[in-house]
Amino acid sequence: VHASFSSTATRARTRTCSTKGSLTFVVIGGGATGVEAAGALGELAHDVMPHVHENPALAHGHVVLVDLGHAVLAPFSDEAHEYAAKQLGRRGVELKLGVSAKEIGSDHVTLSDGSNHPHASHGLGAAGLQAAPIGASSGLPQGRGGRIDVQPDLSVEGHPNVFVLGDFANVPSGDDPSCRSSGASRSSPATGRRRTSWPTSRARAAGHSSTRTRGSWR
Amino acid sequence: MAMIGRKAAVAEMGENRHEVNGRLAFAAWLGVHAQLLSNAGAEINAFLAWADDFYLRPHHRSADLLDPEKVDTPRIDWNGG
Repeated sequence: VHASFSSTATRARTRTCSTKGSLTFVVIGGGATGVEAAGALGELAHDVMPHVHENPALAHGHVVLVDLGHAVLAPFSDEAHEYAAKQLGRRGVELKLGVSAKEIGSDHVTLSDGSNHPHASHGLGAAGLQAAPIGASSGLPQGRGGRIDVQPDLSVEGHPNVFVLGDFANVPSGDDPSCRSSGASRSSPATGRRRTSWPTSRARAAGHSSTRTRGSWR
Repeated sequence: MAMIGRKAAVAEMGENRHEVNGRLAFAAWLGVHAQLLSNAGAEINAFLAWADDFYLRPHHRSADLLDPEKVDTPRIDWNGG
């Protein structure tokens, strides 16, 4: 990001042609991560970078936020959808809703509505992930987003030898009373047992735990 | 909780998940991240940097974090000091 701002500033200094479009960022995904990224890029282009590189060409920095849904921050209320859209617009972010990214090349991004963003120096993937559909065929109880319901120790109720991790697990949140009580009593099988004595035959379903970012907090 | 930009965020707060947006939600977002810092010294440094970056001189925010030449120099001393 920094490099593309610098190179645009340098190029604009040596050429007289318009550099419009050479600083286009396409953020794909209008969830918490995409909204934060788009908002930050918008502020970077209009508030921060003009003072780092004193070059008017940088004002052409353009951020496009793409989402297949009908609103950004979909899990929140309609009021929040409007608020987020307004705030992003104020930061110069162009919203493209009901649209998906068709092709991301090294120097362009093509969207499903046929629009092409040439010179898009950065396509940013902020779309949500879902663990493999194996969870549905496991016969275990599933919660939000097809995740498997687990207890605070990540074991599945009624199956003390089955643990679920990462994006597969619907972990009870901190304000859930069941979480507090079992944490205090330490009655869970996993915490009551020493690591070395865990049965090696335990089944485990592991997803991508690294995909839970701070942006996904609600 | 979702941050949009300076002084703009959406958050659900409290037991009833009451939704708030705007400056209050943004301040709450800062507060949550302050809670994650390891000690009071780091928190004070963060509050000073945030006050400068987000409230006092928002149009002169540092881009040092993005500069490859300065990226190895931590702005926050995680071990206290």
